[in-house]
Amino acid sequence: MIVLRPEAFLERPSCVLLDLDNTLYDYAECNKAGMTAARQLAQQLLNLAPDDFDQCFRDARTELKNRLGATASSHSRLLYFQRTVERAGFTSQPAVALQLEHAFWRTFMDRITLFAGALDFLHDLRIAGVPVAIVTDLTAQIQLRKIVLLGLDRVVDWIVTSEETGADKPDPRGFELAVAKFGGVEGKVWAIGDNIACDLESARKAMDATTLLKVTGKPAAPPTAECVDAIFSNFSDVRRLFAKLGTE
Amino acid sequence: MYKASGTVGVKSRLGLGSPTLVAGLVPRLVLALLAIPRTHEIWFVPFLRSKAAIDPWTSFLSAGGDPAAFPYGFLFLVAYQPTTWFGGTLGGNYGAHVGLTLSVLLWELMLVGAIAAIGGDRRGDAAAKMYWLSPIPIYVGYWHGQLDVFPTALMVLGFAAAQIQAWRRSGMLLGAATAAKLSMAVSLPFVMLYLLGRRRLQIFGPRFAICLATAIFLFAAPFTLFPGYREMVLGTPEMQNIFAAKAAITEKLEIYLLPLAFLGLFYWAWRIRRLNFEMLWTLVGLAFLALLLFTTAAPGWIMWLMPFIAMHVADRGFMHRVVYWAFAAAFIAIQLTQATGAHLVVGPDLSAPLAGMSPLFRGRALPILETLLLSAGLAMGLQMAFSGILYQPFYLASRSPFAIGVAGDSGTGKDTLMDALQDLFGRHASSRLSGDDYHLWDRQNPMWQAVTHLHPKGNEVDVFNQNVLALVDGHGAASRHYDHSSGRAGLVDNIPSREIVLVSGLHALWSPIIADRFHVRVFMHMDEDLRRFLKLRRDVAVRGYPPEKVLTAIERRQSDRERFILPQADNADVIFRLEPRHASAISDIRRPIDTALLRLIVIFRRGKNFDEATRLMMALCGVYVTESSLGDGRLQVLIEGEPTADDIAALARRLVPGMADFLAVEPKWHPAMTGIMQLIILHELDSVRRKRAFVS
Repeated sequence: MIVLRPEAFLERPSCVLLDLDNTLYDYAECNKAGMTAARQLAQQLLNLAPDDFDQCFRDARTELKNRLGATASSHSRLLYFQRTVERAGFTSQPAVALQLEHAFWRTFMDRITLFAGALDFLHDLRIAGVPVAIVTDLTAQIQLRKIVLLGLDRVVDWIVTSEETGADKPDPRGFELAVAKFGGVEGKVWAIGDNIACDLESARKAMDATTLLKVTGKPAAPPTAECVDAIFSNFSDVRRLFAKLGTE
Repeated sequence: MYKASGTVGVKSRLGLGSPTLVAGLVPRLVLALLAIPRTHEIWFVPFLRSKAAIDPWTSFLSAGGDPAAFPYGFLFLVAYQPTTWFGGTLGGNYGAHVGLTLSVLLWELMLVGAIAAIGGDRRGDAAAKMYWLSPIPIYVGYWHGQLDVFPTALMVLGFAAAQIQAWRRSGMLLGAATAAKLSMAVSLPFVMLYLLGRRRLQIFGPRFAICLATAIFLFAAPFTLFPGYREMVLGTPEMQNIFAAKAAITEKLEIYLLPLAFLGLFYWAWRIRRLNFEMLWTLVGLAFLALLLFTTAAPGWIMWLMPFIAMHVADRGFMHRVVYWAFAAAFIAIQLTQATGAHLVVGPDLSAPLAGMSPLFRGRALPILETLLLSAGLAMGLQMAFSGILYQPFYLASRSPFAIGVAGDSGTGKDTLMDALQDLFGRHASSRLSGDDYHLWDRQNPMWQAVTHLHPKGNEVDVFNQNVLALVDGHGAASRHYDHSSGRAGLVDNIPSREIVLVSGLHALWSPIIADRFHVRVFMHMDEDLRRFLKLRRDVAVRGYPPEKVLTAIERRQSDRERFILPQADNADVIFRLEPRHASAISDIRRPIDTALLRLIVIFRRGKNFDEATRLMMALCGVYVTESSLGDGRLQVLIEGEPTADDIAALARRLVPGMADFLAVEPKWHPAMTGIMQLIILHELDSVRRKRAFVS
C-alpha cells in the first residue's frame, strides 16, 4: 500500500463510500466468462461467428453509450445483446436477447467472488460502527443480485445505484444521495474505488473525501492525479491502516 | 479439498506469489551455478554427454562407462538430455551440469503447478508453497543431484488429470511415470481400486487401463531389446530393497516390513471400498512413505513422497509442522553424512559424505537420526491416515447408502422426480425401488373393485418394507417389475444396494419401520386440478387408459387418498407442491403443460434453515423466492421462475459443494421446477452428510 497523503489518515472515517465493480471483486474475469457464455450461445442460436459477435457487440455498446449517455441503462446487457443481434443482420429477437442476457449474467455471477480481505474489512467497519454505502453504476436489479450473492447486504448499510440517481459517476448525485441516506455525515468520508475520475475525483469534489484507489497487482508509482490519497491492491493493507487509526 | 476448479484441465499456474517464487528460486539457482553434485560429475553428465546413439546405454558401456551412471530409460533421456547437451556445447562439463540442473528446475515447476492444481482453491497455494520452500527438494535436486523429480512430476500430473476425470490423459501420464521409474507403479493398485470401488467411475476403468498399458509398453518395452538397457536400467538392485527391512518374530521367523505395509494398505483400501480423490491421494502417499521408511532408500526416493507431504502439511496445525520439520531435519542430516554431496565451484570440495570428515558424525549419531526419521515418519503416516481418511467427511458419510423415500398420490410426479434423481447421481451409483412393483394383483384382477391401489391392503407392504430395509442396510433386494402398459407384474429382478437408494411409492412413508430409515423423506403434493390434468394426460396418452375410467378411478380413490396417502405428509422432511400460476396452464388436456406457468411450494420440517439457498436462487439466477412461516412453525417457500439446467448446476456448486463426490461424473441437471427439486433434495442430503460426519 502506498499512502500519498499521510495527513489524510489521522483519524478514522465517519463513513465509507465504496464502489462495487472491480473494487470489491474482479470484474474483468467475470465479464470475460460471461461474454464467453453469450458468444457460445449466439453461435448456437444464430450461427453467429465469434468474431462477428464480438464486432457487433462492440458496435452495439458504443452506439448505446452514445445514445443514452452516462445513465444506468447505458450499461444494460439486455440492450447490448438486443442491438448486437440487430446489428448482425437479424430483426429484433427478444427471446434470443433475453437468453443471451441470462447466459451472460448467470456465468458472470457464477464466477464472482470477493477480493481477499474485503469482507473482513467491511466487518471491521461494522464492528467499529462506521456506516458503509455502496455507490455503483448500472441497474439496481443486477447490482442488488451481485450484492446479495456476495453477502454484502449483511455488512453494508446503504446502496445507491445510478439507476436510482439518474446519472452515472462521476456525477456527484450518487455520493450525495449516499450521504443523505446516512442522515448526513460529520467528519471524514472515505471513498474507495478503482476509477480515479469516477470514484475518487468526484467524491473529493463533492464532499472532500479521503480517497483510496484499488489497483490490481502491485501498487504502482503515484498517479499524476492529485486526488488520490492512498493506493492499495490488498484489502488487508486497508484493514491494517484502519486498525492503526483506531489505536492512535 | 482437492477439487480442481473448473474443467479446463490442469492449471498452468504455480500457486506461488512472487516473493515465495523468488525465495525458492534463489537457493536453487545459487546451487545450480556454484555446486556441482558428485552424481552429476561422475554419472549423469558423462552419460548424457556421451556419443549420440540409438542405443545410448550399450554404446556407453562399450566405451567403458560405469553401469551405474544412468539407471533410467528413454523418457529420462528425453527429459534431461536436450538441456544437458546444449549446456555442454556451450560450457563443457560445467555447462552440461548447469543445463541438466535447469531441466530439474523445469520439472520442479511442473510439479509445483500440478500440486497447486490438485490442492485446488483451498489448499493448492499453501501446498505449492510448502513444497517450493522445503529444504528437501533443494537438497535432493541441487546438492545431491538426483533426477527423481521428473517421474514424480509425471505421476502428480497424472493424478491431477484423474481428479478432473481426464482418465485417458491420466493413464498416459501414470503409464509414462511408471515407464520412467518402475517405483511409480506403487500408485497403480490404489488407482484401480479407486475406479472399481466407485460405480460412477467404473466406466473409466477400461480407457484408463488401455492408456496406462499403452504408455508403459511404448515407453519401456522396445528398449528392453537393448543389452545395455537391460544391464543399466533393469539390472539395478532396487527390487531387492523390497526385502531390506524385516522384523524377527521368533529366532527362526522373520517378516518383511515393506510387503506387510503394502498389503495392509491395499487391504484397507479394498475394505473401504468407496474412495474419494483425497483418500486415494492419502493412500498412495502412505505407500510411498512406507517405501521410504522400510527400505534402504536412495536420497532421491523422498522426491516421490514430497508432493504428498506438501499437501498433508499445507494449511495444517502446529503439530503437523513440528513432525514434518523433525522428519526433514533427520532426513537431510542422515543424507549429508551418508550420501555424496557436491563440490563447490569456488570453495571446498564437499562431495564426499560428511561422516568421513568428522567423528561427530559417527558413533551413535546415525542410529539416533535414523530413529528420529522413523518415528517422525510413522507419526506423519498416522497423521495422514487420520486427516486424509479416517476423519474425511466422505469416508464418514459414505459408510452406508443414502436413502431417499418419495411418497405421494398417483400422478404427482414421483417417477419424474426419481428419474431426475437418477440423472443426478448416475444409474451406476443408485438403486431404485418402486412401490408400483408391489401391487398385490394384476390390473385385470377383480379384487381392485373392492380395494384401491391406495389402500395398503392392495399392496405387498411387508415385502416392500423388507426390500427397502435390505437396500438401506447395504444388501440387495429381489423385486418384480410392474408393467403399466400391460398391467401385469413381470419376472423377479435383483436390485443391488448402491451408494444412493431411491425409493418411491404410494406408501413409501406409510410404515414407520421404513420411514425412519430414509435419510430424506419427500412427499409429493400437487394442486388437485393440476394432478387430474397431468394424470389424465399420462394415463390416457402414455399408458393408454380410457379417460372416463381414469376420472372414475380418481373419484373412487378419494377416500383412500385422504386416509392413507395424505397423512404421509406428516412424516416428510420436504413437501413439494406444484401448482399452476394460472388456470390457462391446465385448460386443454391435448396440450402439454407449459412449465413456465407452474410454481413450486416447498414446505420443510420445523427447524429447517433455507436462507442461503433462497439468497442464491434470487441472486444467481433471478428466481423469485418467497419465504413464510406456517401456523405450526414450518417453513414454506414459494418459488417462481424458469431457471435453466445450467442455473441449477451453478446453484449446486455454490450451495452444496461437499456433495460433488456423490454425484454422477457428469450429473444431468433439469431445468425449471424439477431442477429446483433436485437441488433441494441435494441440500437435504448435504445436511445428512454433515450430520453423519459430525456424529462419527
